[in-house]
Amino acid sequence: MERILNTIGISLLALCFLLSLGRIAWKSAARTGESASDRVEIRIAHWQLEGGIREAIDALAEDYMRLNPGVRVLQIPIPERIYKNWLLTQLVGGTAPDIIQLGIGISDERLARFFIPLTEVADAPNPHNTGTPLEGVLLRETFFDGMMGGFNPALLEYYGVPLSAHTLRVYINMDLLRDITGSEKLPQTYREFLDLCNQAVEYGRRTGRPLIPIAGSRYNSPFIMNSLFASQTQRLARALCPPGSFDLGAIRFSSTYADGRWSLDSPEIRSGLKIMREVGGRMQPGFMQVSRDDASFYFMQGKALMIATGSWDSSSISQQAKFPFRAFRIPLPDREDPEYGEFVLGITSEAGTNAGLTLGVTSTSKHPETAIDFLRFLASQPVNQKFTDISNWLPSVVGVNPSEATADFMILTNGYTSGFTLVPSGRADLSRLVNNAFHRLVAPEGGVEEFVEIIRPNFLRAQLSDSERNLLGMLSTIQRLDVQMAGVAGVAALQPDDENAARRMDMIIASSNMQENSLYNQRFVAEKLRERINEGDQ
Amino acid sequence: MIEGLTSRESFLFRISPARRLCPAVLGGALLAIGAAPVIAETAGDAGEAATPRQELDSAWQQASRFLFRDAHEGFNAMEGGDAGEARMRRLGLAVTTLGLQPRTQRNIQRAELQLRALIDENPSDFSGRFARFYLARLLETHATTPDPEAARELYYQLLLEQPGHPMLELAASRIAYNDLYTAGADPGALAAAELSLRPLAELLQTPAGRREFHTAVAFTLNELGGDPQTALDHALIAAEIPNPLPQMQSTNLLLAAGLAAESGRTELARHYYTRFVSEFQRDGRNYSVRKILETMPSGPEESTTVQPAHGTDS
Repeated sequence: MERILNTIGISLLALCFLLSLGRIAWKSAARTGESASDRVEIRIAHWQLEGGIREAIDALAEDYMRLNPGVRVLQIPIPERIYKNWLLTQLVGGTAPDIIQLGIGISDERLARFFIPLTEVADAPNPHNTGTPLEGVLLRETFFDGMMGGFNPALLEYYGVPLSAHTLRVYINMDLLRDITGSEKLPQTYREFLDLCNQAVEYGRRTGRPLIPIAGSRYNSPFIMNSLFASQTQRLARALCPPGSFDLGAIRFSSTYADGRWSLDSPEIRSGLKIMREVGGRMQPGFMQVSRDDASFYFMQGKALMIATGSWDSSSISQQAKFPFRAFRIPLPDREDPEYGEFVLGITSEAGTNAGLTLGVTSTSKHPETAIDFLRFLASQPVNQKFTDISNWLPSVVGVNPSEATADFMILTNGYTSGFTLVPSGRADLSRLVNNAFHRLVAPEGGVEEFVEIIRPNFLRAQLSDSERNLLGMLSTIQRLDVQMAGVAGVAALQPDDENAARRMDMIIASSNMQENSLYNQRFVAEKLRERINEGDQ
Repeated sequence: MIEGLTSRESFLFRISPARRLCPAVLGGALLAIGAAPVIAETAGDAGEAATPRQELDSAWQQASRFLFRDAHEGFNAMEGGDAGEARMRRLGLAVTTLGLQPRTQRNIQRAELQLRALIDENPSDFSGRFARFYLARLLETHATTPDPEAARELYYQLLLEQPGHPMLELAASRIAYNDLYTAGADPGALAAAELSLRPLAELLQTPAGRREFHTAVAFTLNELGGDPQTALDHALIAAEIPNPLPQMQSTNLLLAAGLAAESGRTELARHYYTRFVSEFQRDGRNYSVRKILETMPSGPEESTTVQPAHGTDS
């Protein structure tokens, strides 16, 4: 009996093994057959699940397949929440799709290891633009941002082809606007905006249906709050910058603070906090504890008149909201504003916006030429027009007209540089300090003075700890850059006639010098902050 | 069942030796069948062996794309090649050791020894010159206890003896940062430091080396509140040598314009502001600069041809 069982076991094992072998052989044969018949499959993965995007990509894929009958384009939309983990598994397992949206989960090293540089593609005309006004123009020059959205400044190569762009806007429920004001006129100035908020509150009281003027959340509120605060530091920022510079940046923020050139008592800062309190009072109570989805629900359900978010939400809102809506720029005070005009230069420019929804080609792609050709196809003027028309997202290619729905979101280039916010980008401790006390700024029983007195004792210390952390990060970047630079020099030495190698060397020289400049400056400023703290300042 | 044996052992004991071999033969046969395609594929892939130069190129390519461990292993596995290639391989090993994670004191010391050995053998060939530069970098930014003075001395010797490579001429910028930030915001010390840096400009032979040196001095003087006229002299040279990074080219133009305005040279400022407006139309600062131009008073006519500062940029 035992002998029989063992024989059966071994036979089963052998059978399974042979079956597996047979299946692999069959799949290989099928693949060979496919290549023999020139059938190519291109898979494209992204996390843009907002309404309209999948439909647009499907439609463009259909067009491409019609032009190239031997190609099949397959779209793989992945939820943003799991995108990073999914992507890593695919990349490491060697099963990644041919085309992947760049951004989440893609470090410089992963980009270098798993993606194909597209610099040569960027430096050549796009054949799919033949017969358009962009015929013969280098691919990178066909994007409104010069394809900077696809350029990796660390690797000094283009790695992606961008399809769209985004701007920040205030969305407004037009039905409610009409009910409240009796017209469809959008607020043009800060005063009109504030007035509309007050009318919305009054309308809610009158109808017995409480209405939130602006749906706030820890995700949405900073869009509007930071813009308003920065409007009050526009002139101050210009005054604090050294000659020829327009951007205060995180290092100069601390440097000028340490020098005593501004403080939490500066009138511009007080005015910025006051305007944030003013608008924060028009959001629902406790908005900083509310998630993005909850704020969206308030707006979608007609419980809030307005919400501040990016153009990326436009297609989703248009699909889910049961009311017509429009979008307008966050209305900043103008120079004539009686209360806030003194510190304002004027509306801010969006000209520095880079294109997004950037797609790269993986190095494991079995058909990289086709994948690149499909990206060129997507980036051609007529196809980008169709993408915009279907998705209602902004175009990335010059000369493409916005769809009717995207007109409110177009990038406005005529505007001044922005002021600074109370938390410069990448300053974690300062952010924690300010955010932890923020509820006291906007609470009815709180106020500007109370908020300032909460953050003041640690304002300098938080800047120092952020600067020290930044220094470590910068040092690490420079150490990596040093080794990379040797690699670039080595390649250039072995390929003296390679123009791209020479260009990369020139770029890395400039980039390295820029990084070193920042490192020394940050070190100097950290020392200044330390001295101020040692002197007992806050 | 045989006494003292488990049922499986008694089964194996009972069957004949030939039968006992059966599972092993079967297993071996299955393994052979399974392995055959892999072996065939591997043999197919083997192809022609890469030359040492190709291997070097491949490893440097990997280093240039942040794949430091792969590059290090590539350099490590290389064999053969001429003397120059062998030295380049050793340079690659030393430099990529600095990029290995986790960063350890041992690796840094190992890299230092390798770099010093390369310099001792020949300080003047490609590998020797780069070894000198990287030894300075190691002492300045990679060592656990940095030695900026020793690094400065190495940079200076390299510039004196072996200029002419744009990357190695970054040594001048490194000296400039060290000296100017050591002087700090004290105007007298800053002016003296800038004065002592001027001879360095005479040593630079490549446009990129000059561009980056003058950019470093102009930016640092501007940031530390140094004399705007002196900073302008450097900024003008930097702005006239094309920069491959658009954000740096645009910033250099604005720096020259801003410093010219600060120095009262209105027409020169107008020249650079106008260049910026026309060359960087998509820049977020374009509108602000146009507004500055609109309100700029007219100044005395002035040549916008840049004179080399201190006769360095001939």
